[in-house]
Amino acid sequence: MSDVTEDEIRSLGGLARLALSDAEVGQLKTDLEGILEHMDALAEVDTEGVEPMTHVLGAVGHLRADEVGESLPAEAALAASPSHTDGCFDVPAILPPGSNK
Amino acid sequence: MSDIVNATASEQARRIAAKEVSASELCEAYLARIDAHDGRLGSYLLVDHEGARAQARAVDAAIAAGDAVGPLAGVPIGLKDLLVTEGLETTAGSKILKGWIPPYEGSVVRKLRSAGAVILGKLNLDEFAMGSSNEHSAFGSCKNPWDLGKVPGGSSGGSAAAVSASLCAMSLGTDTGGSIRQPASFCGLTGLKPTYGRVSRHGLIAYASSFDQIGPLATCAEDAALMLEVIAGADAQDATCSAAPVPAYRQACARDVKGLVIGIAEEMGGDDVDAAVSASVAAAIAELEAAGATVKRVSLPHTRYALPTYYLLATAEASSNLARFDGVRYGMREGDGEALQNMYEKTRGAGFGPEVKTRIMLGTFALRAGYYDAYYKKAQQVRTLIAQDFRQAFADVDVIASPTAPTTAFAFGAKKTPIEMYKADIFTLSCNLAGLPGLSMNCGFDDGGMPIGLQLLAAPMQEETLLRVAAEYQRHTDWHTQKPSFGGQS
Repeated sequence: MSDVTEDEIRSLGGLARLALSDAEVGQLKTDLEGILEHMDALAEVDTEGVEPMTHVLGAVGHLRADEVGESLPAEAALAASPSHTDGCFDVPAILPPGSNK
Repeated sequence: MSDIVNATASEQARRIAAKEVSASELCEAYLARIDAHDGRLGSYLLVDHEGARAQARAVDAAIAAGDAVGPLAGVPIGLKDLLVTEGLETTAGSKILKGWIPPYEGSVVRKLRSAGAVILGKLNLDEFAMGSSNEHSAFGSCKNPWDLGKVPGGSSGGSAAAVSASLCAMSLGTDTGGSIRQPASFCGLTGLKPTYGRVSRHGLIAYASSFDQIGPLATCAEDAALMLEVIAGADAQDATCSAAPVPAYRQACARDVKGLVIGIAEEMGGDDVDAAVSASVAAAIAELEAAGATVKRVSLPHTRYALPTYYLLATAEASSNLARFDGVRYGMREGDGEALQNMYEKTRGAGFGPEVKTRIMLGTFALRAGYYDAYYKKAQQVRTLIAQDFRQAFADVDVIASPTAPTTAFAFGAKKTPIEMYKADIFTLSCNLAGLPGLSMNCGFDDGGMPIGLQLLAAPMQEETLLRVAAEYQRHTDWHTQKPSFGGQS
Protein backbone atom coordinates (compact mmCIF):
# COMPACT_ATOMS: atom_id res chain seq x y z
CA MET A 1 0.00 0.00 0.00
CA SER A 2 2.93 2.31 0.70
CA ASP A 3 4.49 2.37 -2.78
CA VAL A 4 4.04 5.69 -4.51
CA THR A 5 5.36 6.22 -8.03
CA GLU A 6 6.99 9.41 -9.24
CA ASP A 7 4.11 9.83 -11.70
CA GLU A 8 1.68 9.77 -8.79
CA ILE A 9 3.76 12.40 -6.99
CA ARG A 10 3.62 14.61 -10.10
CA SER A 11 -0.10 14.08 -10.41
CA LEU A 12 -0.65 14.94 -6.72
CA GLY A 13 1.54 18.02 -7.22
CA GLY A 14 -0.80 19.07 -10.02
CA LEU A 15 -3.87 18.60 -7.81
CA ALA A 16 -2.16 20.57 -5.05
CA ARG A 17 -1.02 23.29 -7.49
CA LEU A 18 2.65 22.85 -6.56
CA ALA A 19 5.43 23.16 -9.13
CA LEU A 20 7.94 20.46 -8.14
CA SER A 21 11.49 20.00 -9.39
CA ASP A 22 12.74 16.49 -10.23
CA ALA A 23 14.76 16.50 -7.01
CA GLU A 24 11.66 17.42 -5.02
CA VAL A 25 9.64 14.67 -6.70
CA GLY A 26 12.27 12.11 -5.64
CA GLN A 27 12.43 13.42 -2.06
CA LEU A 28 8.64 13.55 -1.73
CA LYS A 29 8.37 9.97 -2.99
CA THR A 30 10.81 8.81 -0.28
CA ASP A 31 9.17 10.91 2.45
CA LEU A 32 5.58 10.01 1.57
CA GLU A 33 6.39 6.30 1.40
CA GLY A 34 8.06 6.53 4.83
CA ILE A 35 5.08 8.36 6.28
CA LEU A 36 2.40 6.18 4.66
CA GLU A 37 4.04 3.07 6.06
CA HIS A 38 3.04 4.37 9.52
CA MET A 39 -0.42 5.45 8.33
CA ASP A 40 -1.23 1.92 7.22
CA ALA A 41 -1.44 0.88 10.90
CA LEU A 42 -4.96 2.30 10.91
CA ALA A 43 -6.12 -0.60 8.73
CA GLU A 44 -5.89 -2.91 11.77
CA VAL A 45 -8.43 -0.88 13.80
CA ASP A 46 -11.97 -2.26 13.78
CA THR A 47 -14.10 0.73 12.82
CA GLU A 48 -17.20 -1.17 11.76
CA GLY A 49 -20.21 1.00 12.61
CA VAL A 50 -18.06 3.81 14.09
CA GLU A 51 -19.30 7.28 13.17
CA PRO A 52 -16.56 9.39 11.50
CA MET A 53 -15.89 12.48 13.62
CA THR A 54 -16.77 15.64 11.74
CA HIS A 55 -16.76 18.01 14.71
CA VAL A 56 -14.78 17.38 17.83
CA LEU A 57 -17.11 18.65 20.54
CA GLY A 58 -20.40 18.65 18.67
CA ALA A 59 -21.03 22.37 19.04
CA VAL A 60 -21.35 23.43 15.43
CA GLY A 61 -22.20 26.72 13.86
CA HIS A 62 -23.28 29.40 16.31
CA LEU A 63 -25.25 31.73 14.06
CA ARG A 64 -25.23 35.47 14.46
CA ALA A 65 -28.17 37.78 13.79
CA ASP A 66 -28.62 38.56 10.11
CA GLU A 67 -27.67 42.20 10.41
CA VAL A 68 -25.47 44.32 8.21
CA GLY A 69 -22.28 45.15 10.07
CA GLU A 70 -19.01 46.83 9.27
CA SER A 71 -16.81 45.00 6.82
CA LEU A 72 -13.34 45.49 5.45
CA PRO A 73 -13.22 48.33 2.88
CA ALA A 74 -12.42 47.06 -0.62
CA GLU A 75 -9.23 49.17 -0.81
CA ALA A 76 -7.91 47.56 2.38
CA ALA A 77 -8.73 44.07 1.13
CA LEU A 78 -6.97 44.77 -2.17
CA ALA A 79 -3.95 46.55 -0.73
CA ALA A 80 -1.83 43.42 -0.16
CA SER A 81 -2.51 41.79 -3.53
CA PRO A 82 0.39 41.48 -6.00
CA SER A 83 -1.75 43.21 -8.64
CA HIS A 84 -5.17 44.86 -8.73
CA THR A 85 -7.08 47.20 -11.04
CA ASP A 86 -10.33 49.16 -10.60
CA GLY A 87 -11.31 47.45 -7.35
CA CYS A 88 -10.63 43.93 -8.64
CA PHE A 89 -7.81 41.42 -8.13
CA ASP A 90 -5.79 40.86 -11.32
CA VAL A 91 -5.04 37.30 -12.35
CA PRO A 92 -3.27 36.03 -15.46
CA ALA A 93 -5.41 34.69 -18.29
CA ILE A 94 -6.75 31.19 -17.72
CA LEU A 95 -5.62 30.21 -21.22
CA PRO A 96 -1.95 30.73 -22.05
CA PRO A 97 -1.02 33.88 -24.01
CA GLY A 98 -1.33 33.26 -27.74
CA SER A 99 -3.98 30.59 -27.27
CA ASN A 100 -7.16 31.35 -29.18
CA LYS A 101 -9.10 28.19 -28.42
CA MET B 1 15.20 46.70 36.40
CA SER B 2 16.37 43.09 36.39
CA ASP B 3 14.23 42.13 39.39
CA ILE B 4 11.02 43.20 37.64
CA VAL B 5 12.02 41.49 34.41
CA ASN B 6 12.39 38.30 36.46
CA ALA B 7 9.03 38.80 38.20
CA THR B 8 5.97 36.91 36.97
CA ALA B 9 3.58 38.69 34.60
CA SER B 10 0.96 38.77 37.37
CA GLU B 11 3.43 40.48 39.67
CA GLN B 12 4.42 42.94 36.94
CA ALA B 13 0.76 43.84 36.36
CA ARG B 14 0.28 44.38 40.10
CA ARG B 15 3.36 46.62 40.43
CA ILE B 16 2.43 48.69 37.38
CA ALA B 17 -1.10 49.22 38.70
CA ALA B 18 0.40 50.17 42.10
CA LYS B 19 2.68 52.72 40.32
CA GLU B 20 5.80 51.01 41.67
CA VAL B 21 7.11 50.83 38.12
CA SER B 22 5.83 52.40 34.91
CA ALA B 23 4.76 50.45 31.86
CA SER B 24 7.27 52.47 29.83
CA GLU B 25 10.18 51.53 32.11
CA LEU B 26 9.24 47.86 31.89
CA CYS B 27 8.81 48.06 28.12
CA GLU B 28 12.26 49.68 27.72
CA ALA B 29 13.83 47.00 29.91
CA TYR B 30 12.47 44.26 27.67
CA LEU B 31 13.29 46.09 24.43
CA ALA B 32 16.88 46.53 25.68
CA ARG B 33 17.13 42.81 26.46
CA ILE B 34 15.76 41.90 23.02
CA ASP B 35 18.17 44.28 21.27
CA ALA B 36 21.11 42.96 23.31
CA HIS B 37 20.43 39.22 23.18
CA ASP B 38 17.96 38.13 20.52
CA GLY B 39 20.54 38.24 17.76
CA ARG B 40 21.95 35.01 19.24
CA LEU B 41 18.56 33.44 19.99
CA GLY B 42 16.39 34.30 16.97
CA SER B 43 13.10 34.28 18.84
CA TYR B 44 11.64 37.44 17.26
CA LEU B 45 10.83 37.83 13.57
CA LEU B 46 9.77 41.42 14.17
CA VAL B 47 10.21 43.81 17.11
CA ASP B 48 7.70 46.67 17.19
CA HIS B 49 9.72 49.19 19.23
CA GLU B 50 7.54 52.17 18.45
CA GLY B 51 4.18 50.38 18.74
CA ALA B 52 5.19 48.87 22.09
CA ARG B 53 6.37 52.22 23.42
CA ALA B 54 3.13 53.90 22.35
CA GLN B 55 1.06 51.21 24.10
CA ALA B 56 3.15 51.53 27.26
CA ARG B 57 2.78 55.33 27.25
CA ALA B 58 -1.00 54.96 26.88
CA VAL B 59 -1.08 52.63 29.91
CA ASP B 60 1.03 55.06 31.95
CA ALA B 61 -1.23 57.97 30.97
CA ALA B 62 -4.34 56.01 31.97
CA ILE B 63 -2.86 55.07 35.33
CA ALA B 64 -1.68 58.64 35.96
CA ALA B 65 -5.18 59.90 35.16
CA GLY B 66 -6.67 57.41 37.59
CA ASP B 67 -8.58 55.57 34.82
CA ALA B 68 -9.44 51.91 35.18
CA VAL B 69 -6.92 49.71 33.32
CA GLY B 70 -7.16 46.13 32.10
CA PRO B 71 -5.75 43.05 33.82
CA LEU B 72 -2.68 42.97 31.53
CA ALA B 73 -2.00 46.72 31.68
CA GLY B 74 1.66 47.27 30.84
CA VAL B 75 2.60 43.59 30.64
CA PRO B 76 5.00 42.99 27.72
CA ILE B 77 3.72 40.18 25.48
CA GLY B 78 5.10 38.46 22.38
CA LEU B 79 2.86 36.90 19.73
CA LYS B 80 3.53 33.86 17.59
CA ASP B 81 3.74 35.17 14.03
CA LEU B 82 0.75 33.06 13.03
CA LEU B 83 -1.55 35.60 14.71
CA VAL B 84 -2.80 38.36 12.47
CA THR B 85 -1.88 41.88 13.64
CA GLU B 86 -3.34 44.93 11.92
CA GLY B 87 -0.64 47.06 10.34
CA LEU B 88 2.15 44.78 11.59
CA GLU B 89 3.82 42.32 9.20
CA THR B 90 2.55 38.75 9.66
CA THR B 91 4.43 35.96 7.89
CA ALA B 92 3.43 32.58 9.39
CA GLY B 93 7.17 31.88 9.15
CA SER B 94 6.79 31.50 5.37
CA LYS B 95 8.36 33.15 2.36
CA ILE B 96 4.96 33.09 0.67
CA LEU B 97 3.61 35.71 3.12
CA LYS B 98 6.81 37.74 3.59
CA GLY B 99 5.91 41.40 3.69
CA TRP B 100 2.17 40.90 4.27
CA ILE B 101 0.67 43.74 6.29
CA PRO B 102 -2.74 42.51 7.51
CA PRO B 103 -5.66 44.92 7.11
CA TYR B 104 -7.42 43.63 10.25
CA GLU B 105 -6.72 42.60 13.82
CA GLY B 106 -7.28 39.04 15.05
CA SER B 107 -9.77 38.68 17.92
CA VAL B 108 -7.26 37.58 20.58
CA VAL B 109 -4.91 40.42 19.66
CA ARG B 110 -7.80 42.86 20.01
CA LYS B 111 -8.62 41.37 23.42
CA LEU B 112 -4.98 41.67 24.52
CA ARG B 113 -4.83 45.30 23.49
CA SER B 114 -8.05 46.14 25.34
CA ALA B 115 -6.65 44.40 28.41
CA GLY B 116 -3.70 46.83 28.27
CA ALA B 117 -1.01 44.43 27.07
CA VAL B 118 2.10 45.90 25.48
CA ILE B 119 2.81 43.89 22.34
CA LEU B 120 6.57 43.71 21.78
CA GLY B 121 6.59 41.86 18.47
CA LYS B 122 6.08 38.70 16.46
CA LEU B 123 7.77 35.43 17.36
CA ASN B 124 9.46 32.78 15.26
CA LEU B 125 7.75 29.48 14.40
CA ASP B 126 7.88 26.51 12.07
CA GLU B 127 6.41 27.56 8.74
CA PHE B 128 2.60 27.58 9.04
CA ALA B 129 3.04 25.84 12.45
CA MET B 130 4.20 22.64 10.75
CA GLY B 131 7.05 21.27 12.80
CA SER B 132 8.29 20.27 16.24
CA SER B 133 11.68 21.99 16.33
CA ASN B 134 11.52 25.43 14.68
CA GLU B 135 13.89 24.12 12.02
CA HIS B 136 11.15 24.64 9.41
CA SER B 137 11.01 28.42 9.82
CA ALA B 138 11.75 30.12 6.48
CA PHE B 139 13.62 32.86 8.38
CA GLY B 140 16.15 30.80 10.35
CA SER B 141 15.70 28.60 13.39
CA CYS B 142 15.13 29.97 16.85
CA LYS B 143 17.41 28.36 19.46
CA ASN B 144 16.82 26.99 22.94
CA PRO B 145 18.03 29.43 25.62
CA TRP B 146 19.00 26.49 27.87
CA ASP B 147 21.47 25.28 25.21
CA LEU B 148 21.92 27.16 21.94
CA GLY B 149 22.87 23.90 20.19
CA LYS B 150 19.41 22.51 20.83
CA VAL B 151 15.97 23.21 19.40
CA PRO B 152 13.38 25.17 21.39
CA GLY B 153 10.65 22.80 20.18
CA GLY B 154 7.86 23.69 17.84
CA SER B 155 5.96 24.92 16.31
CA SER B 156 5.67 27.76 18.88
CA GLY B 157 9.46 27.67 19.43
CA GLY B 158 9.97 31.44 19.37
CA SER B 159 7.07 31.91 21.81
CA ALA B 160 8.72 29.51 24.27
CA ALA B 161 12.32 30.67 23.82
CA ALA B 162 11.41 34.36 24.27
CA VAL B 163 9.60 33.77 27.59
CA SER B 164 12.33 31.45 28.85
CA ALA B 165 15.01 34.05 28.00
CA SER B 166 12.94 36.88 29.55
CA LEU B 167 12.55 38.64 26.21
CA CYS B 168 8.83 39.01 27.00
CA ALA B 169 6.83 38.37 30.16
CA MET B 170 4.42 35.99 28.49
CA SER B 171 3.54 34.96 24.96
CA LEU B 172 0.82 33.44 22.85
CA GLY B 173 1.42 30.30 20.86
CA THR B 174 -0.88 27.99 18.95
CA ASP B 175 -1.33 24.26 19.40
CA THR B 176 -2.56 21.93 16.65
CA GLY B 177 -0.82 18.73 17.76
CA GLY B 178 1.36 19.88 20.66
CA SER B 179 2.81 23.16 19.42
CA ILE B 180 2.35 24.97 22.76
CA ARG B 181 3.01 22.08 25.15
CA GLN B 182 6.09 20.55 23.51
CA PRO B 183 8.06 23.84 23.30
CA ALA B 184 6.90 24.68 26.85
CA SER B 185 8.40 21.35 27.88
CA PHE B 186 11.66 21.92 25.97
CA CYS B 187 12.10 25.44 27.40
CA GLY B 188 10.95 24.81 30.99
CA LEU B 189 7.67 26.76 30.87
CA THR B 190 4.00 26.43 31.72
CA GLY B 191 2.06 26.16 28.45
CA LEU B 192 -1.68 25.73 28.12
CA LYS B 193 -3.62 24.48 25.12
CA PRO B 194 -7.28 25.34 25.79
CA THR B 195 -10.29 23.19 24.93
CA TYR B 196 -11.21 23.36 21.24
CA GLY B 197 -13.59 26.33 20.99
CA ARG B 198 -12.54 27.97 24.27
CA VAL B 199 -10.54 30.69 22.47
CA SER B 200 -11.51 32.36 19.20
CA ARG B 201 -9.47 31.35 16.16
CA HIS B 202 -10.35 34.54 14.26
CA GLY B 203 -7.07 35.96 13.00
CA LEU B 204 -5.19 32.71 13.53
CA ILE B 205 -3.79 31.67 10.15
CA ALA B 206 -5.29 28.19 9.84
CA TYR B 207 -3.21 25.03 9.69
CA ALA B 208 -5.84 22.41 10.66
CA SER B 209 -9.08 24.11 11.64
CA SER B 210 -10.60 21.26 13.66
CA PHE B 211 -7.48 21.12 15.88
CA ASP B 212 -5.98 24.64 16.14
CA GLN B 213 -6.21 26.57 19.41
CA ILE B 214 -4.42 29.67 20.72
CA GLY B 215 -2.99 29.58 24.23
CA PRO B 216 -0.44 31.07 26.64
CA LEU B 217 3.21 30.24 27.33
CA ALA B 218 4.16 31.57 30.74
CA THR B 219 6.52 31.03 33.63
CA CYS B 220 3.80 29.80 36.01
CA ALA B 221 0.21 28.59 36.19
CA GLU B 222 -1.07 31.86 37.64
CA ASP B 223 0.22 33.81 34.61
CA ALA B 224 -1.33 31.30 32.21
CA ALA B 225 -4.62 31.72 34.10
CA LEU B 226 -4.41 35.50 33.83
CA MET B 227 -3.85 35.28 30.08
CA LEU B 228 -6.62 32.73 29.55
CA GLU B 229 -9.12 34.94 31.38
CA VAL B 230 -8.35 37.67 28.83
CA ILE B 231 -8.38 35.64 25.61
CA ALA B 232 -11.15 33.06 26.27
CA GLY B 233 -14.80 33.53 25.48
CA ALA B 234 -17.41 33.93 22.78
CA ASP B 235 -16.57 35.68 19.51
CA ALA B 236 -19.02 36.44 16.74
CA GLN B 237 -16.12 36.09 14.26
CA ASP B 238 -15.59 32.38 15.00
CA ALA B 239 -18.62 30.11 14.72
CA THR B 240 -16.81 27.28 16.53
CA CYS B 241 -16.01 29.46 19.55
CA SER B 242 -17.96 28.45 22.67
CA ALA B 243 -20.38 30.85 24.32
CA ALA B 244 -19.80 29.23 27.72
CA PRO B 245 -18.97 31.82 30.41
CA VAL B 246 -15.27 32.31 31.18
CA PRO B 247 -14.46 31.13 34.72
CA ALA B 248 -12.17 33.03 37.10
CA TYR B 249 -9.14 30.90 36.26
CA ARG B 250 -6.89 32.71 38.71
CA GLN B 251 -9.18 31.70 41.56
CA ALA B 252 -8.83 28.07 40.54
CA CYS B 253 -5.06 28.46 41.07
CA ALA B 254 -5.66 29.09 44.77
CA ARG B 255 -7.24 25.70 45.41
CA ASP B 256 -5.39 22.61 46.63
CA VAL B 257 -5.61 19.14 45.09
CA LYS B 258 -7.08 17.19 48.02
CA GLY B 259 -9.45 14.51 46.76
CA LEU B 260 -8.49 15.03 43.13
CA VAL B 261 -7.88 11.87 41.09
CA ILE B 262 -4.89 11.72 38.73
CA GLY B 263 -5.02 9.12 35.99
CA ILE B 264 -1.95 7.41 34.59
CA ALA B 265 -2.21 5.60 31.27
CA GLU B 266 0.39 2.99 30.50
CA GLU B 267 -0.06 3.80 26.79
CA MET B 268 1.37 7.27 27.43
CA GLY B 269 4.78 6.24 28.67
CA GLY B 270 6.88 3.10 28.46
CA ASP B 271 10.03 2.28 26.56
CA ASP B 272 9.86 5.22 24.18
CA VAL B 273 10.51 7.61 27.04
CA ASP B 274 13.99 8.68 28.25
CA ALA B 275 14.78 7.41 31.74
CA ALA B 276 15.32 10.93 33.14
CA VAL B 277 11.95 12.04 31.77
CA SER B 278 10.14 9.02 33.26
CA ALA B 279 11.81 9.55 36.64
CA SER B 280 10.93 13.25 36.84
CA VAL B 281 7.34 12.64 35.77
CA ALA B 282 6.95 9.88 38.38
CA ALA B 283 8.42 12.18 41.05
CA ALA B 284 6.00 14.96 40.07
CA ILE B 285 3.03 12.61 40.38
CA ALA B 286 4.32 11.49 43.80
CA GLU B 287 4.55 15.13 44.83
CA LEU B 288 0.88 15.64 43.91
CA GLU B 289 -0.07 12.49 45.82
CA ALA B 290 1.73 13.86 48.85
CA ALA B 291 -0.33 17.03 48.42
CA GLY B 292 -3.56 15.03 48.73
CA ALA B 293 -4.37 13.73 45.24
CA THR B 294 -4.92 10.04 44.56
CA VAL B 295 -3.61 8.12 41.57
CA LYS B 296 -5.54 5.66 39.46
CA ARG B 297 -4.64 3.63 36.36
CA VAL B 298 -6.65 4.32 33.22
CA SER B 299 -6.58 2.79 29.76
CA LEU B 300 -6.38 4.71 26.48
CA PRO B 301 -6.17 1.75 24.10
CA HIS B 302 -6.19 3.73 20.83
CA THR B 303 -3.27 6.00 21.77
CA ARG B 304 -0.88 4.26 19.37
CA TYR B 305 -3.10 5.29 16.47
CA ALA B 306 -3.01 8.97 17.38
CA LEU B 307 0.02 9.66 15.18
CA PRO B 308 -1.35 8.26 11.90
CA THR B 309 -4.83 9.65 12.65
CA TYR B 310 -3.50 13.11 13.37
CA TYR B 311 -1.14 13.31 10.40
CA LEU B 312 -3.83 12.20 7.94
CA LEU B 313 -6.55 14.53 9.22
CA ALA B 314 -4.38 17.56 9.97
CA THR B 315 -2.63 17.42 6.60
CA ALA B 316 -5.95 16.94 4.79
CA GLU B 317 -7.23 20.10 6.46
CA ALA B 318 -3.94 21.87 5.73
CA SER B 319 -4.08 20.98 2.03
CA SER B 320 -7.45 22.72 1.90
CA ASN B 321 -6.59 25.68 4.17
CA LEU B 322 -3.35 26.50 2.37
CA ALA B 323 -5.09 26.60 -1.01
CA ARG B 324 -5.72 30.29 -0.28
CA PHE B 325 -2.02 31.09 -0.78
CA ASP B 326 -2.10 31.31 -4.55
CA GLY B 327 -0.51 34.63 -5.49
CA VAL B 328 -3.81 36.46 -5.96
CA ARG B 329 -4.94 38.22 -2.76
CA TYR B 330 -1.77 38.50 -0.68
CA GLY B 331 1.83 37.41 -0.54
CA MET B 332 4.26 36.67 -3.33
CA ARG B 333 3.54 35.87 -6.96
CA GLU B 334 5.72 34.00 -9.45
CA GLY B 335 5.03 33.21 -13.09
CA ASP B 336 3.11 36.39 -13.89
CA GLY B 337 2.44 36.60 -17.61
CA GLU B 338 1.94 32.85 -17.87
CA ALA B 339 -1.39 31.02 -17.72
CA LEU B 340 -3.28 31.12 -14.42
CA GLN B 341 -2.53 27.55 -13.37
CA ASN B 342 1.20 28.02 -14.04
CA MET B 343 1.16 31.14 -11.87
CA TYR B 344 -0.49 29.18 -9.03
CA GLU B 345 1.98 26.31 -9.29
CA LYS B 346 5.08 28.49 -9.56
CA THR B 347 4.00 30.79 -6.72
CA ARG B 348 3.28 27.89 -4.38
CA GLY B 349 6.32 25.91 -5.53
CA ALA B 350 8.62 28.86 -4.78
CA GLY B 351 6.78 30.16 -1.69
CA PHE B 352 6.32 27.05 0.47
CA GLY B 353 9.17 25.25 2.21
CA PRO B 354 9.79 21.48 2.03
CA GLU B 355 7.83 20.42 5.14
CA VAL B 356 4.78 22.44 4.11
CA LYS B 357 4.91 20.85 0.65
CA THR B 358 5.22 17.38 2.21
CA ARG B 359 2.12 17.97 4.35
CA ILE B 360 0.08 19.48 1.52
CA MET B 361 0.99 16.45 -0.61
CA LEU B 362 0.10 13.99 2.17
CA GLY B 363 -3.22 15.74 2.75
CA THR B 364 -3.97 15.79 -0.97
CA PHE B 365 -3.18 12.07 -1.07
CA ALA B 366 -5.51 11.30 1.88
CA LEU B 367 -8.40 13.18 0.27
CA ARG B 368 -7.86 11.83 -3.22
CA ALA B 369 -10.61 9.80 -4.85
CA GLY B 370 -9.86 6.12 -4.35
CA TYR B 371 -7.92 6.69 -1.13
CA TYR B 372 -10.51 8.73 0.78
CA ASP B 373 -12.21 5.79 2.55
CA ALA B 374 -8.98 3.96 3.41
CA TYR B 375 -7.24 7.06 4.79
CA TYR B 376 -9.33 10.15 5.51
CA LYS B 377 -12.60 8.52 6.53
CA LYS B 378 -10.82 5.76 8.42
CA ALA B 379 -8.87 8.38 10.37
CA GLN B 380 -12.08 10.25 11.19
CA GLN B 381 -13.50 7.01 12.62
CA VAL B 382 -10.38 6.33 14.70
CA ARG B 383 -10.59 9.93 15.93
CA THR B 384 -14.04 9.06 17.33
CA LEU B 385 -12.53 6.04 19.13
CA ILE B 386 -9.70 8.11 20.61
CA ALA B 387 -12.21 10.67 21.94
CA GLN B 388 -14.29 7.80 23.42
CA ASP B 389 -11.23 6.44 25.25
CA PHE B 390 -10.83 9.80 26.96
CA ARG B 391 -14.55 10.11 27.78
CA GLN B 392 -14.39 6.77 29.55
CA ALA B 393 -11.17 7.64 31.37
CA PHE B 394 -12.50 10.99 32.59
CA ALA B 395 -15.49 9.24 34.13
CA ASP B 396 -12.98 7.92 36.71
CA VAL B 397 -10.26 10.57 36.96
CA ASP B 398 -9.96 14.38 36.95
CA VAL B 399 -6.70 14.69 35.04
CA ILE B 400 -4.39 12.38 33.13
CA ALA B 401 -0.66 12.87 33.75
CA SER B 402 2.12 11.84 31.36
CA PRO B 403 5.40 13.10 29.94
CA THR B 404 4.77 15.98 27.51
CA ALA B 405 7.42 14.60 25.16
CA PRO B 406 9.43 11.38 25.21
CA THR B 407 12.73 13.31 25.41
CA THR B 408 14.12 16.68 26.39
CA ALA B 409 15.11 19.15 23.65
CA PHE B 410 17.17 17.52 20.92
CA ALA B 411 20.07 18.90 18.86
CA PHE B 412 19.55 20.75 15.58
CA GLY B 413 19.55 18.27 12.72
CA ALA B 414 18.89 15.27 15.00
CA LYS B 415 15.63 14.25 13.32
CA LYS B 416 16.51 13.03 9.85
CA THR B 417 13.10 12.05 8.42
CA PRO B 418 9.62 13.53 8.73
CA ILE B 419 8.36 10.52 10.70
CA GLU B 420 11.20 10.82 13.27
CA MET B 421 10.18 14.43 13.79
CA TYR B 422 6.47 13.53 14.02
CA LYS B 423 7.25 11.08 16.83
CA ALA B 424 8.36 14.02 19.02
CA ASP B 425 4.60 14.68 19.36
CA ILE B 426 3.37 11.20 20.31
CA PHE B 427 2.05 12.23 23.74
CA THR B 428 0.53 15.57 22.72
CA LEU B 429 -1.45 14.62 19.60
CA SER B 430 -4.36 12.76 21.18
CA CYS B 431 -5.37 15.83 23.22
CA ASN B 432 -6.07 17.74 19.99
CA LEU B 433 -7.79 14.77 18.38
CA ALA B 434 -10.25 14.74 21.31
CA GLY B 435 -10.47 18.56 21.59
CA LEU B 436 -9.30 18.49 25.22
CA PRO B 437 -7.44 21.11 27.24
CA GLY B 438 -3.82 20.22 28.00
CA LEU B 439 -1.04 21.80 30.03
CA SER B 440 2.70 21.27 30.21
CA MET B 441 4.88 22.44 33.07
CA ASN B 442 8.50 22.03 34.09
CA CYS B 443 9.03 19.15 36.53
CA GLY B 444 12.81 18.80 36.55
CA PHE B 445 15.97 18.65 34.43
CA ASP B 446 17.97 15.90 32.78
CA ASP B 447 21.72 15.33 33.32
CA GLY B 448 22.51 17.82 30.59
CA GLY B 449 20.50 20.53 32.37
CA MET B 450 17.60 20.48 29.91
CA PRO B 451 14.04 20.96 31.23
CA ILE B 452 11.53 18.09 31.46
CA GLY B 453 7.80 18.61 30.96
CA LEU B 454 4.85 17.06 32.79
CA GLN B 455 1.67 17.01 30.71
CA LEU B 456 -1.78 17.16 32.29
CA LEU B 457 -4.96 16.57 30.28
CA ALA B 458 -8.52 17.15 31.45
CA ALA B 459 -12.07 16.77 30.15
CA PRO B 460 -13.40 19.48 27.80
CA MET B 461 -13.75 22.93 29.46
CA GLN B 462 -11.89 21.78 32.60
CA GLU B 463 -9.01 24.27 32.28
CA GLU B 464 -9.64 25.22 35.93
CA THR B 465 -8.66 21.71 37.04
CA LEU B 466 -5.42 21.83 35.03
CA LEU B 467 -4.48 25.22 36.43
CA ARG B 468 -5.40 24.15 39.95
CA VAL B 469 -3.10 21.11 39.77
CA ALA B 470 -0.28 23.08 38.16
CA ALA B 471 -0.48 25.93 40.67
CA GLU B 472 -0.50 23.54 43.62
CA TYR B 473 2.51 21.69 42.20
CA GLN B 474 4.30 25.00 41.76
CA ARG B 475 3.62 25.91 45.40
CA HIS B 476 5.38 22.70 46.44
CA THR B 477 8.33 22.86 44.01
CA ASP B 478 10.57 25.50 42.45
CA TRP B 479 11.37 24.00 39.04
CA HIS B 480 9.24 26.67 37.34
CA THR B 481 11.34 29.47 38.87
CA GLN B 482 14.60 28.20 37.28
CA LYS B 483 15.93 30.34 34.45
CA PRO B 484 18.63 29.60 31.87
CA SER B 485 21.87 31.57 32.21
CA PHE B 486 21.26 32.97 28.70
CA GLY B 487 21.21 36.76 28.70
CA GLY B 488 22.69 37.00 32.19
CA GLN B 489 19.59 35.70 33.94
CA SER B 490 21.27 33.54 36.56
